[in-house]
Amino acid sequence: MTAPPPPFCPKPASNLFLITQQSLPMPLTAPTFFRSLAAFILTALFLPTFCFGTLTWTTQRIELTTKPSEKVATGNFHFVNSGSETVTITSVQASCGCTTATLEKHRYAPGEAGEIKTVFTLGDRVGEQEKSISVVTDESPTARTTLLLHVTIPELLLYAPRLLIWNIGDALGEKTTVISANSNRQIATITLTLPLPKEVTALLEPVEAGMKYKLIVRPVSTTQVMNVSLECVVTFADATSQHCKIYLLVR
Amino acid sequence: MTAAPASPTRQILRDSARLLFLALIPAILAGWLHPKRPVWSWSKPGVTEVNLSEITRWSAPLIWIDARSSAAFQKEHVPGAILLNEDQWEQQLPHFLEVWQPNAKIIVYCDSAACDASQAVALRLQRELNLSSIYVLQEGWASWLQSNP
Repeated sequence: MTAPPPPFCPKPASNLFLITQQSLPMPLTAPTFFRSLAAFILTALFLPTFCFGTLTWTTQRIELTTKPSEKVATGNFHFVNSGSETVTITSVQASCGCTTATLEKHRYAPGEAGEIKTVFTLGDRVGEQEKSISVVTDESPTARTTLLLHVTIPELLLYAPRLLIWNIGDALGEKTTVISANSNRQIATITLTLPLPKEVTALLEPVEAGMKYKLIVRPVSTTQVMNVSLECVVTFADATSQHCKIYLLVR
Repeated sequence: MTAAPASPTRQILRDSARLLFLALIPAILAGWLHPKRPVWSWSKPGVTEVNLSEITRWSAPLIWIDARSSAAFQKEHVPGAILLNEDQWEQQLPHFLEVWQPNAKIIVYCDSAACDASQAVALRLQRELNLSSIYVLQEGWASWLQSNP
């Protein structure tokens, strides 16, 4: 059986308030309840910030886009000790050997600012790259703060595909790959590097001038294993150039 | 006249929903404002991960790819493994293609569960070369060391 509403609350705002009120000696109106709730939320949120040493980060995610000539991408994560105690950074660890993360010092007094410098060596990477850096402090040794370095490395050329495969004994059929410019760049010229390997014949044709080219390849023989590559040089409208390489196998 | 009281089940459900809603408010505020909130990240769809016990049951030829750094590879690696990482992709890729066979399964590994190089190399082999039968070794080199001390 449901208990009838108490006399001090003839029209309760909700059954939740009804349950709450039944256990309280004083009536609780809706505005009081929401004021208390707001105070509780704010206290719960910011109590750790002001009562203990803590690092507040300007940003925990940095997004960068590299230029074709760049070999590294660097990002600095700024922080401030917004607590009342000194904080010691006990560990800074990157997810990849290609990324270094360095600190000027490890101990930060209340109100003191600092930064973690990250350097991501691009190598031969292309496309979207996300490297994480884990930071541990003496304030909470078991909890990690994760910083993210998101780097976009534009791929200048796209291949569809980059590897052409014939099976041993296959007919001497043509296979095609399409080489196209990425990032709205215009191709001024594209030329196959000569001499071509003697195991294949190849022909380069435009599909969409300045943007997309078709490379048609035919092996001379498929009776035995073959492992060769075709190289080309692409010059873009802005006078930069890029080497391309297509792999051809008979297996 | 007073309205008929709601059934106890409906009342419990209604109150539970309200409590969940109230809990959502501090959760959203904490996720938005808290100085120690986790950073949001996207993740790409990954290549299938397999463990060593699964791999030992496979009968197909295996090609092991070591996606760690050259220095780590030179120090020690899975016997017969090929070094292929994105630091020197263009230089190392031809060697992988020399040994690749259509019926072989490719297993890529890096240091441990914490590294992402094996997934990156496996995804690039799929995307750039259009190869299939590519897997990532769960826990990477650390799991190999554990099974082969």
